[in-house]
Amino acid sequence: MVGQILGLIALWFGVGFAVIGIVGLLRFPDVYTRIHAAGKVSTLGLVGILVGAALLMPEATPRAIVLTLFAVVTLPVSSHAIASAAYQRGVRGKNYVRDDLSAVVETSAKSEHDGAT
Amino acid sequence: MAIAVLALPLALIWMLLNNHLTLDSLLVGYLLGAGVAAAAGAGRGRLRGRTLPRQVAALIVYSVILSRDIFLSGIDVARKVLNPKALRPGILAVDPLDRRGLYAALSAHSITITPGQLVVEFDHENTLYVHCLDVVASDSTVAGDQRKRLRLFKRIMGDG
Repeated sequence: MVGQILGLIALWFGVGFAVIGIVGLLRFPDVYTRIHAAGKVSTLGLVGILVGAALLMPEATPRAIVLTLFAVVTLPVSSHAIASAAYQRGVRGKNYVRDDLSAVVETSAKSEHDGAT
Repeated sequence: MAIAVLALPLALIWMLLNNHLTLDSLLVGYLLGAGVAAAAGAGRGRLRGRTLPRQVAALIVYSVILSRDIFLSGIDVARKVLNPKALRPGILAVDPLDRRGLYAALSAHSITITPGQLVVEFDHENTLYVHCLDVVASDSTVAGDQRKRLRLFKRIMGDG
């Protein structure tokens, strides 16, 4: 009984964060901030849903534990891959306070160009 | 030796995934785990019995920190979603302090889980470029965090 109540709380916690993640995906101004919304809030959402499933369905508990582990290890990698691909395609963010990377990318692009000529 | 030890946690994962906590399942999982460990190149690594407990303890400490970070990170970004005017985005260069690929990659994974930070790119010297939702706040914490993180990684790897 207590397990079921805790399970439902975890489930709704997870669903709530998944919804906030999607709202963030729509509201944030550029690719990189959107990746934050999709990657981080949704990770917490997924973990919440899996913990809820583990508590509500005892026969699925071991699987939920392993899935949580896999999700936590792989989700940041996909965020990183999307961000890196976007930057290399020349997509830049909006309203940057500071950008240490643009200087590096411009210099290396210039030196490659110099090398070609 | 390293393969024989590393196959144990892999066997445990196999048993959990199959939901079969039996001796048969342990045996099958152990053999498969040994195969996976060998394919991943564990045979080349060295395992020192003396430092192993310390390494496992450091791994447990790291898992706890990681869980806390995932929680704080989700809440932090959720608050910014509800108030997008608080964003001060930007990209910071972060020195990984140890430029070997293994430590740079582990750091990148860990930074991406840290609240409001996301690794976008490496350069040739493995400097990390981190996109921050609040670049001013992150700038003051990122170097100290990286020092702590690297110390923990080295302890997990049995490297000091």
